Amino acid sequence: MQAPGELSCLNELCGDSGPFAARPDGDARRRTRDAVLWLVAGSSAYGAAMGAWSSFELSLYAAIKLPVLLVATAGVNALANGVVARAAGYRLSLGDALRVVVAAFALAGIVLGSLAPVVLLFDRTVPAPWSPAAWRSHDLLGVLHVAAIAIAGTAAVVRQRRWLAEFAPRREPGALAFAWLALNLFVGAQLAWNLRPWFGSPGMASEFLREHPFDGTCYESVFRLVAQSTFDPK
Amino acid sequence: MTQDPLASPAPEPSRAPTPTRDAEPTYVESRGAESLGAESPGDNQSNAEPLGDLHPIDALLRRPQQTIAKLADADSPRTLVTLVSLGLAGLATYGLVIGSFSGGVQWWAAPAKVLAAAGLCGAICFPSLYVFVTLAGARVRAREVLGVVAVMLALVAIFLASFAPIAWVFTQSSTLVTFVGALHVVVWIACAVASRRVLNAALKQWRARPTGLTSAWILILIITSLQMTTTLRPIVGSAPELLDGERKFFLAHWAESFASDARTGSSGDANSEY
Repeated sequence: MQAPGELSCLNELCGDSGPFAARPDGDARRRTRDAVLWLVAGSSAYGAAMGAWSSFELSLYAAIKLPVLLVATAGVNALANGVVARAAGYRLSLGDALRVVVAAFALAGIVLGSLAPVVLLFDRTVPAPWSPAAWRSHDLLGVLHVAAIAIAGTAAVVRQRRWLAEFAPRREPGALAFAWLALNLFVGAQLAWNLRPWFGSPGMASEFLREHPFDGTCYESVFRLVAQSTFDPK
Repeated sequence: MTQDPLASPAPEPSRAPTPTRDAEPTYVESRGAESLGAESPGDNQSNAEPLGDLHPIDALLRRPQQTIAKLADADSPRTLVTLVSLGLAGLATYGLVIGSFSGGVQWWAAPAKVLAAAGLCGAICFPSLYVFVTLAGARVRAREVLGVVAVMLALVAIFLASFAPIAWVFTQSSTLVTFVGALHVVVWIACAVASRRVLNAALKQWRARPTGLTSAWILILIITSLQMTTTLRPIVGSAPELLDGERKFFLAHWAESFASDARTGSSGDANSEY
């Protein structure tokens, strides 16, 4: 099936046939390169829109950090994802597993990039970080980003299941896709925590990383928050 | 234009005329095609009248798939001009009704802002629509998706124009900005949801399947338009400035406007502009 020329890469990623199906003429290297390019382009666009609420600097930083976050999550999880795939009965090499994960991240990046104009509209029209209603905007934008990431993540996981089905048509790919999702969320949340700030907080400077980016984990923070509100509500 | 066999519609088989008592040729109408809620207006394409026979407005309402198909053929510039003209006329008409609430500068500012809001929302939401329909299995070019956005906006404009007399009655009767504003928001959302039939027809034409993402896109369009109209306020009421520069989230603005109207019961003043 030949896709319209100008958009063949995008159609290949988004289409039903999948980018890494076990084809005899498979050009895995080119497809991986295309996927990485889409990942960087889409997530950079979204990162730029994300940081635009606070300042131009944070917009630039987030445009750099979001692709880094996705690539780093895929890289850190590569070994575990590959092993889990083998354990689940898939004859995927580590490279194959990494490529499928990167392609799903690229798809998420494309969806996020397509939502960047919507996010940018809200960034520029809700109260600014220096206004009295800044925290309300902060919370609203938080919800907006969660919704956008949920849409992108869902689209990517659904598509990833189909790609996995191509590798092993007789297996139900849901379990492996879920295991990968759990791993990627677990590690991705922590790396995102390390790479803060993303869209900034009122009263805090726009900086590339917080002063001690590796001081603590997001899970410890959630634990402290829950413990504090439960045992010491004052 | 060279057509991609995957992206272009299959040729429409024309239906033979059915003789009637007066020997005038008529064409069989598909049942329920006029219904706003028809899931796929193009379901009965084989029963459709020939493309050129329908008035553009009629075609948009009854056979949006034909209008979409026309955008892909050699006649596309003329179709696009027709769609844009219909869109401009419908939106300007409804804008005039909105502007009639406050009068004065709003006679021209409200239609201009309605047009600007519709155009900007279409532009902002276009990239996500393109990606979402591609994910739904459509293999299309960006310009084809842009054409569908134009068809959707034109259909929304026709719906809005048809609701204009009703909105006018309430606009002239009400003294509360929030009531009139809420009415326009409800009408706008209803028209946007009704225009989903265009998207369904396009997906069918592109041999894609409707997914949750395409439904989510309608929600994104509506939320974007609500924020856009808040940004371009005042549209219903009046204010010293043509544009209120203050940045606000639309729900916060609505809450403040309702609270203001509840306190003062005033209409159209600077504190309760919509």
